[in-house]
Amino acid sequence: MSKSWDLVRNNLWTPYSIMKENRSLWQFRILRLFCKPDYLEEIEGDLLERFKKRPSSWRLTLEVVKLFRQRIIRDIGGTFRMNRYGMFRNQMRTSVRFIKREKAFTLMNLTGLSIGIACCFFIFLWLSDELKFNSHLTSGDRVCNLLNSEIQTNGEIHTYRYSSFPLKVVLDEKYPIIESSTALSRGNWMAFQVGEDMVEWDGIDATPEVFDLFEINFLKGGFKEMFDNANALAISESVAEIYFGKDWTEQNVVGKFMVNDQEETFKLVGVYENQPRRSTVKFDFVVPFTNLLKKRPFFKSWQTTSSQLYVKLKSGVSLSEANLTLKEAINDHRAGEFKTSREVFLQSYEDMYLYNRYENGTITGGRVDYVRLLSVTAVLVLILASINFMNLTTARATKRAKETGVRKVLGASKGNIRIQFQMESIMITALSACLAIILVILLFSQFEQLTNKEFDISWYSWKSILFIVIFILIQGFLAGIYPSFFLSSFKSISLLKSGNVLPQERNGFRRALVVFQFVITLVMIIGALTVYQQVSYIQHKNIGLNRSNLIRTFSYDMDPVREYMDYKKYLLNKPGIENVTMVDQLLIDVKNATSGVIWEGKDQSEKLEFRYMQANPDFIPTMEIEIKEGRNFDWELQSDTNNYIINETALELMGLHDPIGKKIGFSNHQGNIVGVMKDFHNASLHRAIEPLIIRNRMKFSWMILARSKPGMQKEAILSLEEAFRTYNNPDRAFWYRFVDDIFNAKYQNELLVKELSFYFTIVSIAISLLGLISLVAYNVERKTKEVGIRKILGASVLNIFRLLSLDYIQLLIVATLIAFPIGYFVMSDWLEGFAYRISLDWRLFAFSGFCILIPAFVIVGLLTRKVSHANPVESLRDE
Amino acid sequence: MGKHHLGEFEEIVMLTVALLGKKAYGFGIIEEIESRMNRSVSIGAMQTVLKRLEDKGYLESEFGEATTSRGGRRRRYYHLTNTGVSVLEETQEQRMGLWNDVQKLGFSTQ
Repeated sequence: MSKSWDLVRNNLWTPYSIMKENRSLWQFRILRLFCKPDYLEEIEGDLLERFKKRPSSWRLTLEVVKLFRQRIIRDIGGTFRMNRYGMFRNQMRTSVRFIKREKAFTLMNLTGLSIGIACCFFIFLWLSDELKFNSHLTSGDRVCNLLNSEIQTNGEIHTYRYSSFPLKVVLDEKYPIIESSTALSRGNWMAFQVGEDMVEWDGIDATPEVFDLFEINFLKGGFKEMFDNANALAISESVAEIYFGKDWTEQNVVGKFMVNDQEETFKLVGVYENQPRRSTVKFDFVVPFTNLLKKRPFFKSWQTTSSQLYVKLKSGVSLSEANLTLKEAINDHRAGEFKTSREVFLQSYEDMYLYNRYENGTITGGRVDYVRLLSVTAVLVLILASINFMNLTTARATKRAKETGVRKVLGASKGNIRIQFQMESIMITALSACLAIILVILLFSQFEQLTNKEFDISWYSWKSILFIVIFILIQGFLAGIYPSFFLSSFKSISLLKSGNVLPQERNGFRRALVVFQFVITLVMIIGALTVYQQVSYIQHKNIGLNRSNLIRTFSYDMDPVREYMDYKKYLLNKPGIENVTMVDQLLIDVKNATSGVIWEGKDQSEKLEFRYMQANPDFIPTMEIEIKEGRNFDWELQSDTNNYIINETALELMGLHDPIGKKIGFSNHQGNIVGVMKDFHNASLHRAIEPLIIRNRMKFSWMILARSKPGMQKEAILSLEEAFRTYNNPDRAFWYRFVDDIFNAKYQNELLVKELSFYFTIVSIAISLLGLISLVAYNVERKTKEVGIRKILGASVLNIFRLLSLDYIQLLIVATLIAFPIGYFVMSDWLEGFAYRISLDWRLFAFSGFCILIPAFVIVGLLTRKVSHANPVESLRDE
Repeated sequence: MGKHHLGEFEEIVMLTVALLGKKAYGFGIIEEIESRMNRSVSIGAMQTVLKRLEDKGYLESEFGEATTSRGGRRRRYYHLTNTGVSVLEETQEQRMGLWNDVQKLGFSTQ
């Protein structure tokens, strides 16, 4: 046996040994993969002859690559594969024919799927943008924001992004795990003269390490000088472009002096490149922190917590390690002054954007919740569309029965048939994806408006093309699994026998899918309604003060104590103004907080935190806040400048029974409580009302709150501007905002979710109903004859209606029963995130049920009407 | 025969095949062209042209002997068919016609 084999081998392949030696050439192996076998001997020979003299591997490789030509490449894989190819072509052809023939079916499928996919693409765009935030730093995992947790004696923990400046010094000196740190102010707004106008920019006071930490490169100059010179200034590229003109790069800008609106002179030491759009820490210019310390020396105190601290850890130091080391950084190093229990922890800069909510000292989510919510929604919408596809395809199995039967008889295995239907599914998905892309392109600008973002995507990059191709393959495959198994599972004999013998009616799985689909839709409707109600609740909630027609503006150069009365008189004589007051911060977002409050009868060991703000006696009447006990501040009483008004929550926290006249004080200013006002929301509605203390010391106040007479906003703004011009340096820029807008802006996330959930719910209702229509329509079409016979035998219209639609109505009711509890639990959980929320009542559920059941009934009714009213002769005659 | 156009490289290959006579095989032709015309020719390009010319019926081929220099693979020798010869002749005629007319106009190629 082996001898004869050798003989054959030697005769057919003469110098076998030489052949063997060349077999190992990998270039030859590649050549053999694609080259026509008939040409192989000649070409290999030529190659060997050519490179025998100059054997150089890459030349040979190049030569092989050059052989990859149409005439030399073999046809798809020899005789065996040729058959596959033919089969494949045949399958594709029948699929295309089926798609063309069943136009209604294809249309339904394509609409549902393409809408679903378009939704998915939109969400994906949004998500990828969100996830890219703060990811531009090369050592981003080491740059961290430092947060403070204040532990109160009543067990509550308050968390702040703001720290005291002295902590930075401690961090730099005492903690070797920190490579560098920087302190940033809350913000610094300065205006500079550009031509005729004053232009205001949104900058920051910061220690110069900020450039190193946030990896900001200088295009001109540098930040070295900022360490020594408190009046140094660095500006961004875009500010330079506006200030110096487009050709600023050609000018010698470094070293020039810039004078701001407050007549301060700064020396420009550098121009840095613009920061990326997706960055939490962004500023138009940087002034050294020393400048702020000079102007506001109290920033050096441990008691002032108004600086943002960022640190860069040494490489190799993990976040948890650093957190352990730094935990007591404040408590250990704050000497002498009052003691509160403050702990320090770090959050990586990369996480800052998405995780921005804290409860009891731990980070519990924030924006990331919406990211999750929307991803789940996207997946759900896609599932809905896929279920439509599966149901339609399996319901139409009879239409493909003959085809499948013949294939099976001719020797197709189940696997072959599965592959055919999988291919079909991928084909339809690909078509829908194309439609979806067109939809996305058409609605792109609307989506940008809705989400208030600019998406910088490139449609033609290989990444997006690869993404779409992979998406189509996976989605097509997943949607095709069930139909392909279902359709390939029948016995060929039952497929080929005439008449419907397929076990269609009792298809439990399909019924389950319909139920599942409607459960998802209903839960989404319930969700959307809840979000809608909650958000409008927030928007219209009485927050304890009147915020309509309220305008906020600033007064920079006016003395808030001596000049205010003149200003007020001047303003109230102008048209449109109802009332005015002056405060130091916005009352719906009070940020100042202190634990240093002492009051009569306070237990010395208690450490409780209060918010505080400054306001003049006009504050309470202008805001229309109710006084519960005591009185408002009085302009006439000089002593009132040391007195306080507290809110109900503060009163409760202090535990005072008869508060009026009790002694109270903080930061060395003793006074009495003269009044207790009703609570108003002084922070986000996500949180409970904070205890608030108002004092009447107007130093450092610069915010003006004015209420316009109803319908006279325009006049009011003009009047405010005139007053502003009179009481401020003439070259200042006047600007204002409505408090209502500021209030709404705080709930931007919720507003976005409100709008998005609305659209998604519409889409999911549409998709589910589309699925229902096609299933019922198909059922009706299939049972036309049965209906005819029943009618002849005396069935009533109602009977027929029941026959055709009872099944689906039952399914809908089951879906409702499942969806309501799920919706209830999911949405209660979501509402937990709001301290002030609506309660889920039965009307919401009833309404969401109607949203789906009424259209479903109408559709089923319309579809069955034609058949049940038709003359039975019509349906029975055609044979 | 009007519709048979030979490309420049096709013409060169056919002429080389004619020139080499009985010794015209793939790499042989390449070597000849490379040495005469100072241009490099890849095996892929050569094979494509040879197969195309064979399909058109201008060339015929058969396997020759196996040699060790080719790792035991046989050479495939090409020769012109009658059609091939007449197409070459026709091409030459056309070119010459053009040359003659151009020179009549006093065009100097120098």
